[in-house]
Amino acid sequence: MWRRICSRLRSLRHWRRREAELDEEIRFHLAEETEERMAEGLSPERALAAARRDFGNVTRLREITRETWGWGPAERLFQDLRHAIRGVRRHRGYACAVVLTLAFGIGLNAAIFGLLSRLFLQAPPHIEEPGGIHRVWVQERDLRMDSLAPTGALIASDRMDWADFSLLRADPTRFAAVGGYTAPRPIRHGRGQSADELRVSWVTGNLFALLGARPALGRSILPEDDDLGAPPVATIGHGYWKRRFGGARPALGSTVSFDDVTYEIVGVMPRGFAGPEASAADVWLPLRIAATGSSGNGWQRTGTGFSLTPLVRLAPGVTAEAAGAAATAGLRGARADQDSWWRDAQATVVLGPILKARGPGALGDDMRLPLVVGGVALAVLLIATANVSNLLMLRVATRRRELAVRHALGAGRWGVGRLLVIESVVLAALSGAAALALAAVAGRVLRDTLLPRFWWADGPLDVTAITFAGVAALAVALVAALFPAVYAARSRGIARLDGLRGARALGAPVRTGLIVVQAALSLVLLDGAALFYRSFEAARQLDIGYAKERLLTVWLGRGLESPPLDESVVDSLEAHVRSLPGVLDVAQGTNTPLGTVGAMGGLRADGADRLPRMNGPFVNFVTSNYFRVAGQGIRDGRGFTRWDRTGTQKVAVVNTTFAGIVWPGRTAVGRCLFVGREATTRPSTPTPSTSDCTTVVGVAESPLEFGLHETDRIPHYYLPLEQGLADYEIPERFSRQRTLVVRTQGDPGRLVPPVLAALAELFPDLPADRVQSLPAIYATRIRSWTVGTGLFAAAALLALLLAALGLYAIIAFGVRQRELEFGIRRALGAQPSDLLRMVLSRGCALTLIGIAAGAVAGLWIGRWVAPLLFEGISPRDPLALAAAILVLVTAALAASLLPARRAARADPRQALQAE
Amino acid sequence: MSPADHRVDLLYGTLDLLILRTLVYGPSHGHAIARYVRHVSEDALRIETGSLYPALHKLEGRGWIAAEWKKSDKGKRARYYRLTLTGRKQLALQQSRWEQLAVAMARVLRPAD
Repeated sequence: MWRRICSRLRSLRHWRRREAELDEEIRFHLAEETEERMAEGLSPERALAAARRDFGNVTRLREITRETWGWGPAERLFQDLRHAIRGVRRHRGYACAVVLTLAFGIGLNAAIFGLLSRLFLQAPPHIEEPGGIHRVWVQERDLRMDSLAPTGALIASDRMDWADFSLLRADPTRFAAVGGYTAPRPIRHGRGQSADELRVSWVTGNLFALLGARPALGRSILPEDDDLGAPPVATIGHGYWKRRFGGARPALGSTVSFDDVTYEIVGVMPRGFAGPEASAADVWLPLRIAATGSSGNGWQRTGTGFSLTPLVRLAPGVTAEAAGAAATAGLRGARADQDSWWRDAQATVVLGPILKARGPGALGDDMRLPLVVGGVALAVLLIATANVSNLLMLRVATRRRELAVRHALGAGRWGVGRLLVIESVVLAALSGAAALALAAVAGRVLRDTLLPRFWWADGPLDVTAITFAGVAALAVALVAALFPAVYAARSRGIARLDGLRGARALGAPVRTGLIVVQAALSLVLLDGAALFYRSFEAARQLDIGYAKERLLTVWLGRGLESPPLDESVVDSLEAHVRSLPGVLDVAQGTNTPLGTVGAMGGLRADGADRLPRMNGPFVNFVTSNYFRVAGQGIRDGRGFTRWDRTGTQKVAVVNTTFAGIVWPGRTAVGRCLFVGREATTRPSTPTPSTSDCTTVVGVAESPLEFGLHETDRIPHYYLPLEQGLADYEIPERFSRQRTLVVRTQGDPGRLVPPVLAALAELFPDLPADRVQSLPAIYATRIRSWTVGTGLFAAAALLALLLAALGLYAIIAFGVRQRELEFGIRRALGAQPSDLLRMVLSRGCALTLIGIAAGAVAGLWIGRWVAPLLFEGISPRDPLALAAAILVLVTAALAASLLPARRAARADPRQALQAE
Repeated sequence: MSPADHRVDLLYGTLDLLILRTLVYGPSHGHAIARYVRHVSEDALRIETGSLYPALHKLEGRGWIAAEWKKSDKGKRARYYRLTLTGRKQLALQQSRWEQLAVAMARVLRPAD
């Protein structure tokens, strides 16, 4: 080994000596030549200049001579490398264009690849043998609201209620371990306005053992912690440990408290551990304890509300299919027995991999958006590759003379091709490095925008991303070098030492093709950006059933452990808020618009033997001005008045969804309801003749409470607050729920601080996030379009820039080639405007072909994007397409304009002299 | 007729032959070789510097000629090339090939003579 290195070094030294000798030889030649010229009577300066001119390009001569020295492969490689690096340094602008183009293409892809591999390929970190863990899905038909039968779309969910979950646990012959967890959700921690919010996941006591996840400190949650009598304990995540305790050991023994229950911290999980999903949790609590607290009150019994995501490990020898079939039989049997008409009796249990994205469920927006971004990044990479390939080809075309000389000296097809490949590899290495730097930044941005709730074990530049960048850089460089190399090798027979003529014809179809591809891809991206923007605008302007631009909500609700609200304090807060400048009116309700809703078990309606069981009907006890303040229109009958008070006739307002489901095609006003305990104690179904029933007096619009789709309109009924609290036997928790709905004159966001100050004074224990403006809440709801628009716009802009650069390079090259021709045309009487038009039309023609191809591709790709678009925005939206075409054509014109003007300036005199 | 017009393009491979032939008269440096060829061919053949030095180095690499640094007649250090034994054999071989080719070409071009 040592000897080999020595011999390499020797040959390197030897090589340097030969270089020096060659230089001296050249100097000698020049000196001789100069002397000869001086002997002919030239001045020394002119003699030297003439000698130099005759000698030609010294650098090139050196390079070519060196090739004849016949080195071994290593030296040759080294030489090529040196040559390539020298070339890169000599053509800095060109190299910059290539490196930046590739860096953007690869960097973006490396970043998104890291993200996608986390979502779709890698098991969550710190889990032992993740391949043996299955996520359990239930595939069933959705309950249709119109027919109130489980005949809707086939959906798959990885959440089960307690009853279904217990079925799995009851089958130890097939399932060696069954654990469950709740998706992390934000829970208020601590009291008052300084309180923070922690993401809490409730887990079964055996979950950590099932995952094989070991804590970094202390212990994880154990099966014993599930006992109702066990002391409340919590295990915290690494991120929260760092945040609150600065990563210090004393965290163990400290406490966290939620809903007035204090949990002792017994363990800290390792860095990057997020549970079975990458979605972040700060705290894990044992499920049983939560069950006794307010947030999970009675969920084991009723089987509603709280749901668990089940994970299983199979018993030895049991296949996932067999276990799924057995669980399916069990589930169907249970559903046949129960009174569960609203659930699909033909549901199927499917065991999927632990990775949620790989299961049978539909991908959520948080999964689909990264996929689309991946597609976008790929398109950018393709454009970048095409562009770089083009640049390399143009470079080859301008270097024909040099390459021809190399051929003439026997450099051979392979030699010239190799040189080009090595040049590309050098460029690729530089691009790879730049791409990694870019990926580090882009990765962080993408993580924050696309998956803000994920825990990441490592920085954005993990091994996968780095490997990806390296492999991609090399692959792209080779592909980009392939065309030029083939082209250069082919040009061998045709090459003459007579300059550039014919260069245009050679490889031109490929170059043109690449330009067309770039234009097509750019169009697809621009179209995507326009579609997302249209979605964003449509969503922003959507009428959600509330005056969403002018509302502020103050949620005063509390847990079951707290005393009921003091109505006089609520009223004084309302009075205070009402007196603030900019406030038009204040109403009260027990639900929060776009926020919390309350459901009540008891409800019966006349003329309806079934009512929806899931997603409503929800009840809201409201003041008489509520509908006016919230901006909720009354479609039929009337809203509440101040005379709907305790002691008068009991009245209700239902929303259009409620009316449509319960009394389809019939009028709702005048119908009769049994509400609360009445519904369970009274033997008969209510009819309008029933004395003492609650009469429906009006139908209100259905706001989009939870989502933005028509199916998100949920049945609701409203009762006057005063009657509700006094005249009904209702669950006690309603006396702890209250929201102030504030109608403002201008931007409600500006009223947050003064309202917050009032809240701090009257309800010092309530946290600051209880005051929210609807525009702010709504902004989070349409976030996927905001993010999508931003990402698409950025990618489209980048693509546009690259495509324009590519087009410019091609057109400019063509113009330089044809300068003589343009001059002759001018001499023959063509006007500059004719030449301008000629060049511009060529640029536009290429772009137009690309647009046609892109439009077709866009239509085809559209169906992948369609689910991400806002309802009613078709992926074939003509307006978006038109906008995209307009932008692209403008860019193409701009890119062709500079070279076109150069063509128009062609000098006829020069042309004539040259011929 | 300008002087450039009666110049003949060098055929592929002929440059090697010209160099070898020139060196028969003794060692010479690159500039002298180019000058000699131009002179003897009465300006019809002009060797491009851009081709000459690579060709010299190629022949040296093959061992047909050898190089050493000597003082030129004007006292400057110059790289002198001389024919090696292999080079002489190659010259004989290539020259006879060339002559055969020339005769054959002549027959084709002037069949009547």
